[in-house]
Amino acid sequence: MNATGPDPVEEALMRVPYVDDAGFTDRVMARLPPSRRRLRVAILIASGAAAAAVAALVLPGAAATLAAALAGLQVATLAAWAVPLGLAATALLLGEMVSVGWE
Amino acid sequence: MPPSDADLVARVIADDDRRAFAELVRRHQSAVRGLLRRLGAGDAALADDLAQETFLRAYRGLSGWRGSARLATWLYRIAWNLWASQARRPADPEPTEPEPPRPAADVAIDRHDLERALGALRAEERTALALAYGQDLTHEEAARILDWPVGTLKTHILRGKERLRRLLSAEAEGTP
Repeated sequence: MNATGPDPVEEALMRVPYVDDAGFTDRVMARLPPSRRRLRVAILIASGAAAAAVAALVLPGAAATLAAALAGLQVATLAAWAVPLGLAATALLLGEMVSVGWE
Repeated sequence: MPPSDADLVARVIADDDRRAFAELVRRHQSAVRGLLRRLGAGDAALADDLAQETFLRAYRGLSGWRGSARLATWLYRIAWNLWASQARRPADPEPTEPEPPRPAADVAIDRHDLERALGALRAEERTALALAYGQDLTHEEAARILDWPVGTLKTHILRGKERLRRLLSAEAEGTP
């Protein structure tokens, strides 16, 4: 870039000292908007919960069975529902987290 | 082999990969902050504020980087636009014109002396010198960043260097 030989002014201008990061990158990252990944996870979980609620209300007999079990406090019946439902919900949640690349 | 800037940008755009963006910031922070410090004649606090804003704007507009220019050049353009916006607020003081002989050729110039002298230049001259030296940019790239004709850039470089020589030699003569 220098057409003429180096002179003290040009040499000084060429010396741009390295600026140490010293937390600069962390400060920039802290000011970024919320991650789209986390937003997607939140939306997936909310929509999954809404879908489960709608299914429980709409599917024939599901709500009635649940209500009867709760009314009678039949622990064995509740457990029979809770265990597979809990496993399914956990599997669904883990699947969602893996699919969106949970940080 | 470390991923290229283009690879990291693609990961940020596709998957909002924060680690990839942090790596981009780490790679370019020194150059961007260095440029802004030159433009601000050594005002490190202002330079860092503007550098942070530069990377935040870059994050928001990353899909606008076409890859035809180097990422550093694109970042410099954002930094320059931010600098120019804030510099428009207060008027740039007219520099003083010492009457001076040429500097002794064998005297190394201290960084702080240089920053002080840069601060006394006209904004256009300081800008031209900040981009044309030490940033690994050709005159054409620097002119594109500034939206100036190359000839205008070269004129400001020449005038800026001449004024710097006079200022620094006057300062050296004043030093006991």
